[in-house]
Amino acid sequence: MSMVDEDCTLPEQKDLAVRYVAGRLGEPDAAAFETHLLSCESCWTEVRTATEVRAARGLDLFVPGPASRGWPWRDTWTLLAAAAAVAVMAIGLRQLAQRGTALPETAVFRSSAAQRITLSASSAGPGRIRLRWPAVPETETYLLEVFASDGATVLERETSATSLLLEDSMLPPRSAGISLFATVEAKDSMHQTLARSERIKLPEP
Amino acid sequence: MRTLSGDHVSLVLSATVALHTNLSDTLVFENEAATLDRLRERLRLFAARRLRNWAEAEDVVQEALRRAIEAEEAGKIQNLAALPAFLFQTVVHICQHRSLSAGREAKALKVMAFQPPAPADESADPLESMITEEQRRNVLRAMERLGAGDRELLDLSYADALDAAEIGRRLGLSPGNVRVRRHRALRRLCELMDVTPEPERGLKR
Repeated sequence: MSMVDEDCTLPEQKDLAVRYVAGRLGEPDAAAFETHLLSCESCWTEVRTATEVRAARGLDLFVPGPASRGWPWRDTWTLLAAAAAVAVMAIGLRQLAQRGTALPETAVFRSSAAQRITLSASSAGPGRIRLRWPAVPETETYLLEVFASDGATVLERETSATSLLLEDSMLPPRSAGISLFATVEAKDSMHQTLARSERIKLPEP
Repeated sequence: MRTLSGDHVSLVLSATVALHTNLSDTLVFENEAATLDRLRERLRLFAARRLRNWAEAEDVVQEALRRAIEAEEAGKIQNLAALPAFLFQTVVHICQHRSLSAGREAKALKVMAFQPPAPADESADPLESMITEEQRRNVLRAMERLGAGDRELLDLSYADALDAAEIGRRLGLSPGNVRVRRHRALRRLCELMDVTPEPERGLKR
């Protein structure tokens, strides 16, 4: 009888193990998760380790409570108010831009200028290139663009990760005298640019 | 009270099933002892969550195992693959019965104005009895040897019980990235604790 389920994504979607050991799951959800734990080695490992970590930190099991290590809890209403203010500002700025007022492109960004991030590329084996960039707070998605030195876009990808593996099969054959470059932009939930990288030249595969 | 081990239960179940099936099928049950021991640990935790009492939880698991043997002997379990679900349901029913009985007893004692003795300290928190002091020290040592980033992530997840979205907001990571890093940190912690880092533990790499 196999109890292995390495591909389980159930807890990842809902942080079930975290909420289970902290007593933050309702009874129906907790019981359903326990049924799942009977046959999922991956989730059980996480639950067991979580109980050990809580014990090591002197915390009770299955006891809900606020964060115990002095982290400030965010005020939901304050966050909502801030989000609304940002949205109003963004809409206003967009309307100003549409009326033809000469605004620089960066004026519709949430800050006056998009932050610079560093994009790096390294070989990840034959025919593979790993692109990496640092995480940007409040980013919903990263937009990666690969383009040729003649300006033609050859690849666009959206991801929530902070790295991407490019394989030769994803890129067009390199013509003589044509190099490939890449940039990445961090976008928030309103698709506003939070940060962008300088373009970098991709190494030859 | 004599304790039923996974070996003992497995032997009884295997022998009984062998009477009803082809003897070669008993080979299937060679690993059942290990499976039952793993199952038993889970059932103990599930019972402890319901009863908030570790000693009672152990009794409940023993009772469930006895009922499983009886059910098997009565030919009610034709397929051992159904054993985990059978045991889980039995544990849930016994816990419900005990909770109801405890409620009725408390009501009766209240009517009689009798104050029952305080429960033993060991039953105050299921975690106290689940994790030994040696295990606690082992976890603490392993946590100290972890990288600061891993330690912070595990503490935020399992000690502070924050979900991936909240941790992501604090650390400037996407929720998906938090979950990936958490799995890696868990794997590293397990390795440092020297607890079964084999693939079947199912931690994602």
